[in-house]
Amino acid sequence: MPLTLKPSISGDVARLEIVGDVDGSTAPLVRDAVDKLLGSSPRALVLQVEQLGYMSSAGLRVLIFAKQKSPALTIYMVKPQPPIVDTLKKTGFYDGVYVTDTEPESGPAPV
Amino acid sequence: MQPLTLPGTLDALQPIRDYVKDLAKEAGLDDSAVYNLCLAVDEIATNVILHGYEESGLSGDVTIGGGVEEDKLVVRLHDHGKSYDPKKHSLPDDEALSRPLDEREIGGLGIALALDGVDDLQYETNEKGNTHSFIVKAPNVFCPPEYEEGARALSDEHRKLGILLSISRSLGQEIQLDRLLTLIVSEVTSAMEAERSSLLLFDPASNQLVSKVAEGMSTREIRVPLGVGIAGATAQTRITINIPDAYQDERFNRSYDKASGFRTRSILSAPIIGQNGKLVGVVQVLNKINKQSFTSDDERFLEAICIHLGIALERAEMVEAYLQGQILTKSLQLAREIQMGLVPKDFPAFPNISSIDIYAALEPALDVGGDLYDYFLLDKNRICFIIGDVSDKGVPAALFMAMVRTAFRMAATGSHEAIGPIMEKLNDFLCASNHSQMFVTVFAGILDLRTGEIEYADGGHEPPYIVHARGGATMIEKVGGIALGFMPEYQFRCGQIQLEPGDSLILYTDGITEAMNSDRHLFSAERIQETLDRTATGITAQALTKIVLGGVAAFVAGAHQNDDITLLVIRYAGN
Repeated sequence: MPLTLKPSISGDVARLEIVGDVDGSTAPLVRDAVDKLLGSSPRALVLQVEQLGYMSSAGLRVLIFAKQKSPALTIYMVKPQPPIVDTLKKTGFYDGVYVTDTEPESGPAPV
Repeated sequence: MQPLTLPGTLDALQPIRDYVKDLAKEAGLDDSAVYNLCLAVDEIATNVILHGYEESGLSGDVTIGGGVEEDKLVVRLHDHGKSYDPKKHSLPDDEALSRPLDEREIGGLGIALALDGVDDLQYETNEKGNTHSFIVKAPNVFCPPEYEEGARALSDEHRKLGILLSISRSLGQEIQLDRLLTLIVSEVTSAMEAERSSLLLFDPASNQLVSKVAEGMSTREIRVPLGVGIAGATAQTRITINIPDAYQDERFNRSYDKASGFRTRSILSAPIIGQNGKLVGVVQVLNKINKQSFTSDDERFLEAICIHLGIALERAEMVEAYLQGQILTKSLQLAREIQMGLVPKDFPAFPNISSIDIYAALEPALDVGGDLYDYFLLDKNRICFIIGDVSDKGVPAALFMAMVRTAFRMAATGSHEAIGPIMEKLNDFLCASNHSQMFVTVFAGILDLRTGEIEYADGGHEPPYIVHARGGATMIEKVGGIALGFMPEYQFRCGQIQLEPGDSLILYTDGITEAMNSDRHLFSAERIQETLDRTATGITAQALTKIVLGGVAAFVAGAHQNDDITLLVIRYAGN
């Protein structure tokens, strides 16, 4: 499924809606989008992934990239599909991001 | 699915995943297994493209293919890039996986996901290129341990269903009973994982089981009365009998083991019941391989197989009966051809002899009765004739009838004797050659064309009529005699009949008098008399024949004809 990215910034929260598949060929596009969003030094990165159909390790590396670039950044993943959650759990990423069903409001990150 | 070859670039990843997804769904994998397999192939394909081709400065294709092999789905990814064995790559350990994301290593995640997503990942490299094989058990992949027992049971059920289907299919293709029986025994032995099987069919006539096929036994037929032995008990009770140790069961007959040298341990014996609850036979399975005895699951499975055996056996019996019917039909056709080929059918019979007018008709019944008639000149002044009815039916009757006709001609033409001695010769010949206990009723005579006088002899045949030239008909009060073929040296008395010019002699077989209508009334001699009484004077032999046969046909009005109908009319015109 072709990838569609919808980035937006609201206060100190950067949002990226990801629709489609993230694999070795499309992950660089996600990485570029995240890179641009991090330029505004957001406190949180909210990835809206309800329509993310597939994510390989290339997608996971984007998350590593984001955290390495902004170690204080809180990453949210909103409504990921079960196989994506499965991948996050298998690789230990589930503990490194906040998986939620509701989009966090601008404000302090949960601790 | 046909393998798919694509240029080895990252653009190939999506089509590769689509291909694998289709393949996995086709193999019956669940959504989670489909996703994990796609992920595994995708991760390895990404490595092949990035490391095997691009980073190595190489270019080439990747080919994806595969399919179900036995109980596994095998997906193969083939490339010509730099060799890269995923299993030799170091994988992140638990400690590495639990580190904060910003301290994570970039590499190794993909291979970890790939190995996690399949049951086995094999790698092979040679001069033809590199092949990754992704192997997933189909269709019950990722079965939680608590369901494994259930899965094993399901898998066993699946195997049994497969066997049942295969038995049903192979039995359905075999319609010849003998071959079917052998096939059944071998299929049952294999399906039940037993050492031997035997099949006994129920013979309702003797109320016994008859062994048809027993592996390892001689072809000698064994008969078992119902209720005797294990097979007999199975047949009588119609209940499956499971015996864990044959030698501990008093019903077990050890003589079969003694005769064959086989050692029976466990026995499973099940009845084969056909449609309408009819007992078809018993199947026995001996010695469960690698196990002490048969289980209750085996009992149920053999009973399920027996349902198919019942259908196959009844069907084969029906086919055999049909084929027997076909043979019978052919044999009757042959009999009819023999019969019709022997009686004279060209009329007028003697076109150059104005003093005589002969006409005859023989309408064979469906199952051919063995009627005959014949006439021929003994010399220029005398005509010899015969009408007869063989006691049996079918081909044997037709052959006997042919013998009667030939022997009669030989006896008559070989001498100029009177009809009595001719009949005696014929009778003696038939008695001497009659091994099948058939006999023939005959009325035969010699007509002197100069005088109209007939000398006749009767061998238990129907009494003839004379249709008078002046009108009316008379039944001949014939001199008695017995049918030919069972009492040698019988002396036939002769009688005389005087035909006046214009008189007709009517000879017939009992197919006419015993022709039956749908009310089960017979045409009878009285109706012959009535019919003949009403006929006009001066009509030809052919016209008389048609009137009588027409009368019979009108009487029976289409009812089934049980016997041959034969009529011989001899009209004497006088000098």
